[in-house]
Amino acid sequence: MTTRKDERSDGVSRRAFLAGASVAGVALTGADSAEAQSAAEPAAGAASPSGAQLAREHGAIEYTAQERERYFVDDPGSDLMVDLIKSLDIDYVTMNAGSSFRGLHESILNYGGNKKPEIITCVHEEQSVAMAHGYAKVAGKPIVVACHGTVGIQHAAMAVYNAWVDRVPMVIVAGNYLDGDERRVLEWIHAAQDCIQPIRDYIKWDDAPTSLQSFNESLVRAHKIATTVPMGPVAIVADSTVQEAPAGAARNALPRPSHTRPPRGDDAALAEAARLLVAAESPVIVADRVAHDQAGVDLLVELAETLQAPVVSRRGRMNFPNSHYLNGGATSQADVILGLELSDTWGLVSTVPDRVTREAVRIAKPGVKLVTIGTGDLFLKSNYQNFQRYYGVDLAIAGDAQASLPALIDAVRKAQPRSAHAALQARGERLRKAHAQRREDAQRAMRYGWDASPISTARLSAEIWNAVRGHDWALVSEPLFPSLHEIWEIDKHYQYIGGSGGAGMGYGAPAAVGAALAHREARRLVVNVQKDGDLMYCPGALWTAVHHDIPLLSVMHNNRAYHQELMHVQRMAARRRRGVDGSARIGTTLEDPFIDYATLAKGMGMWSAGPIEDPAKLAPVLREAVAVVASGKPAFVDVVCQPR
Amino acid sequence: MERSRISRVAHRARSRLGALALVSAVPLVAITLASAAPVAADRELFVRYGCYQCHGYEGQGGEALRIAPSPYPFEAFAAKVRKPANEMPAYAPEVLSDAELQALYRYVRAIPEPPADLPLR
Repeated sequence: MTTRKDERSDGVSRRAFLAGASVAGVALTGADSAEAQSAAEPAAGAASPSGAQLAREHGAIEYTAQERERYFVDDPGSDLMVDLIKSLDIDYVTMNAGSSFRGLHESILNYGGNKKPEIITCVHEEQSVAMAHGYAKVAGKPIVVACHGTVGIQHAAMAVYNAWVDRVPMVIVAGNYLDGDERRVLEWIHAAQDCIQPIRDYIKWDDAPTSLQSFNESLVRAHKIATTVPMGPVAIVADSTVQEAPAGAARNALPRPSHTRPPRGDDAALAEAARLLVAAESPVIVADRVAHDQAGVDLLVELAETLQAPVVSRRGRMNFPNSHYLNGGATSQADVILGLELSDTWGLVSTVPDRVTREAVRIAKPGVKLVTIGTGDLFLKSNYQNFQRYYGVDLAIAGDAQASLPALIDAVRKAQPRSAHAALQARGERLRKAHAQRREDAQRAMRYGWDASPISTARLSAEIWNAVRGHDWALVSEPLFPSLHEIWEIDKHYQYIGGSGGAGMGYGAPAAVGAALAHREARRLVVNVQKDGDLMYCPGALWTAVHHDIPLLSVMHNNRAYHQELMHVQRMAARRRRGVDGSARIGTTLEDPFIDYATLAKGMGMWSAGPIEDPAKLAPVLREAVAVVASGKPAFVDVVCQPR
Repeated sequence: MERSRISRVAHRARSRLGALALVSAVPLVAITLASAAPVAADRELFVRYGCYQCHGYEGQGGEALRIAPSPYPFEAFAAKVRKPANEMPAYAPEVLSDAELQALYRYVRAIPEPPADLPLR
């Protein structure tokens, strides 16, 4: 790749040579082709004159090679970047426009036709990243997030952390001005020696290539790394000079994308795990970020049924149908626990209650055997640690859990004696009854506070469920109250995508819009149970949903507070024996005045209703909102709810 | 500015506590047997002292367990508030008087059983 500076120092540059050659071509063939096009076009009344007409009227404009080099760029490097992005099967680029990637932006529009990838306009980089996060969990593949390398990366940081903890792939392309010799005035404050530094602790890989060929290879490598388990965000710097200068010889060497298949656990280790599970009296499976797709769910069902073992999902992903009789239960009585794709194992056996004295409490049975299968040990970083204390597990198997399940199921079948059949059946029957009892208890519990105002969260769960259950629906948020998981029947992989990962505020609304974008082609009824405090971080995501016609039903769980923090401050007050009678509301509540979220959504062009305080009015409003979403538009319902 | 707001909250709290002093005169036996509709002042106390935060406005449960209609006798209820065994913060007599505790119990006891069948479609 030849930079602008190289060209200047060369005297007669390759760029000037190419430009001169193509000028001659344009002078000869451009007019001909324009004329031909003009002749083919019907008379258009007052339509703009064609290039040929202008040339006849005003005389042909010709540029010298030097002038052409001064005014125009043929075959810009960013066109090639678009070719590469297309080759990676990337459908969208989320972005808040920035001058440091203006070359790429223009190439997506006018070279790529704004199709695969299509630009999704965002109003904040945190939104761009969170949208990519939600999208990837539904689509099973990453998209590109384009942002300024400096101010954009800093805006994006929180959302990148969420994606890192949640093991979600995305490719961040950060514009930068690496060559100080070429920077204009504002570009100096939007340039950095190392613009990825703020997020390096929580991405898998980054690079700052200084040539187009190097960028191409780094982009393809980045995509490969991001989508290799354990997945995660990656970032590549797109230097503005590289974007805007001609591609030149780099076009002849487009790197071929390749994908890394997930690793499978060692056969001998899986056989040992199978022996432990088969010999157990009360085996329990704990699953977190296991199922990449429906096949993963089906495999986990097969394993659970083969073992007649309950599955406790930590809800990092949709791993197991909650209507299945083996769903749920407790780990406290397990004699063998199989942990699948857990970021933490210590938490399976112990916990630290929120008390003055922070003493660990054992929650597992003494002598419990712990077997883990996962990729968490294969890639770690130091500064941010999303695991708890160290626990020496009995058998730790490195490998992607979903990829390892077929071999584990086979090993379990081989290890099971025929004589175990009756015992397995009896265990299954006990678990079936316990599951039915839990569902019945949940239905009964829902009745308490049914007619309350603020509206109970159980009623909110039940009313939304009634409104969507007849449709092909998908939930794209993680509500803060348990009733939804107890009342809804979440059976398909795409019906649930887990939470933010890092519990960073501002994930909810944009991630839901990103997920809804991924669901759009399948025309599913996508539901976002939106937290009020969370919405205020990135409310602009609502505008993006309207602007891009992304159907999404957002129902606000509006408890008018940062309620988790309210409870924390109340706990501190009680502990210190002062101010338990209301002072905790200061700094934790969203009141005086209440925020009118329906008006906020309406101001962004979205159909909206609320605030709904009367529970009797909820069902008809939800029906109306569902009809709006079914017509292909987003809708928003603000519901004043109880805290949890 | 924040300090002055805290003062206002504290002042309001003291005023309400004055009103609640009357409640403390109610004999315990009358409280435990009461089954009338919830009293607004009792509910206000339940909210002001943050019980709703984990147990819901109707004591229906949420972050913490359901506490209404209360299955506990007053002594058990009081023990759970004063010396909770779980993660619930302990409410000491200095910040929640016995009379207030009784008022909270009265509120919880007065919440009626919900209908057996819900009007779900």
